[in-house]
Amino acid sequence: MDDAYDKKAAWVSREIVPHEAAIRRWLIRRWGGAVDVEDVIQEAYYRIAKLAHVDHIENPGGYFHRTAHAVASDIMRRAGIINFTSMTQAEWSNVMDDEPPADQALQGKQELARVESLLANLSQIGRRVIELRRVEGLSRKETAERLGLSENDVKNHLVRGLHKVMKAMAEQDGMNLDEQADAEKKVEQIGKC
Amino acid sequence: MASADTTASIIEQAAEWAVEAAHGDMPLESRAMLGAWLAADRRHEGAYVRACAWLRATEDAVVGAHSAKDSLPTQDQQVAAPAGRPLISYNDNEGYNRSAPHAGDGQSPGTPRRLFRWTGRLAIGGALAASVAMLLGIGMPAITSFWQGSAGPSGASAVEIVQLRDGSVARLSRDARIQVVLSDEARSITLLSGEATFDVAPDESRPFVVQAGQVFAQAVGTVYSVSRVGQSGGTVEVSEGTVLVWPRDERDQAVRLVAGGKVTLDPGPLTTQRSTTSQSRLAAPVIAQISLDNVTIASAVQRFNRVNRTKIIISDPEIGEVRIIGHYNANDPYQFAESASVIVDGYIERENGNIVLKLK
Repeated sequence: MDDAYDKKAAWVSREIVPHEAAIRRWLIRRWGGAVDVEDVIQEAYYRIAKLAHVDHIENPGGYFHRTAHAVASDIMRRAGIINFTSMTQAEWSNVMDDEPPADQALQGKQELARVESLLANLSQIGRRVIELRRVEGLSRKETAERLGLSENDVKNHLVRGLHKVMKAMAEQDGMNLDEQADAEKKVEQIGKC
Repeated sequence: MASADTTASIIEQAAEWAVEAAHGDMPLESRAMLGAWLAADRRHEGAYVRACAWLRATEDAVVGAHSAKDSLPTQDQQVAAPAGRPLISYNDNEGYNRSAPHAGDGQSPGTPRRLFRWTGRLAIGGALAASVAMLLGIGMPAITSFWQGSAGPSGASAVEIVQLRDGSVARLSRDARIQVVLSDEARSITLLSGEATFDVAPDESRPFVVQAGQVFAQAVGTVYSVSRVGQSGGTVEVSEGTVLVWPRDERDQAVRLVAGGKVTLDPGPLTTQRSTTSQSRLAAPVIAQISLDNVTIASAVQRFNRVNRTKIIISDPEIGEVRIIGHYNANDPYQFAESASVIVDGYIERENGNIVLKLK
């Protein structure tokens, strides 16, 4: 299981993660508070994780887009909101169409700022921990010894860093979750726009 | 729908498991617990995959920053050159082979090339060095280089011709300065100053994207020229093929230019909203949009066919009756056909240079 996850995570981190900001922005822009954006994103990751193969996906960003759209549609449908398909279908098509084909070069460029903030969210120690593991190949135990920390501290630095990274990611692009909850009340209006 | 609390706590737990799985020596017991946690709620799994992916992205960033720090000065020794190509030197010290083989027209038989040009001037900011490091940081096996089309004794019209490692040829004005980052996945060029004409070696697997100011252009098999407008803008003119042009990070708003198309984008300064020169007023894309407000696909197709050489053909009258809403670039029938096909749950095929809309 871990190997499969690992492999998938590698692909997802390379091909999907860089699009998350754009997808989140799009979800907020096009769906407003009608759906819980974080839920949609998580569910989209879930569906992508469930794919047996990813080799056939030529445009991961587009695929992510499509998946998020499908998830949002399902949520709306389940919530019994009927009058949304025509709007979103067209909107969605519009969004999809305007998206240039996969170009990692640009993706990389746009990702710069994100990666920068990503690093900014890591503590010095968190950073060092990652370096020790990924560059020097130390185990957690060895890392802890090298840094004079407990293994638990080592872990916590990483968990905190990762959590911060993901949280910052969500907050900088979207409204916060409270606002979203408020916005949910506007579902009817938004659905009809 | 989950409450905000639940979502937040799932993210937190997922982060913990992702770290545990990646950095811990996970005992069987923990594995079982992870399995149980994942099975408990399908959102857990999505959150977990996402956390693993972000952890890896973060790690890659750290490793990239680390190796960038360590290896930037000696990049050359670490990166194997693509075989069989005469190269400019990729050192940072401006030394390069001035006798690139593609002087003159830059055409070599059997190698169709794409040609486009960026011109203009650009203030060079400190952000640049950071961006180099960060590009490396994303984990691309990157080659970074700076060089200057250093002034020869000749005048302003002098052009230096250099060959990039991917086989593309750049013609640089004497004050031109470009930065090139080549990786397995991308060819990323920044025009820092001056004027440059790129003769792009085709390589579909590695998009060739040029940035000048805040305007980006990607060659999609093409001949086009680009000139700078103001501090951050640019004009792109296409003589053949297709180019995508967009300002800043507004890639989802990219203008797709085809032969004969011309667009000026000037995103203007980032912070201040000055509307000063008439130049910065040129911002609006010249590309016409076809705006469809609940019209039938049949009549929409007529509109596209009126203005495009590539015709859309509706294979089944049923398709033509479906109504469609949206804004589309007038010069991109393919784009429209694609979304029409999605709406009717059909598909498109290319036939004799035309686009045929079909039902599944």
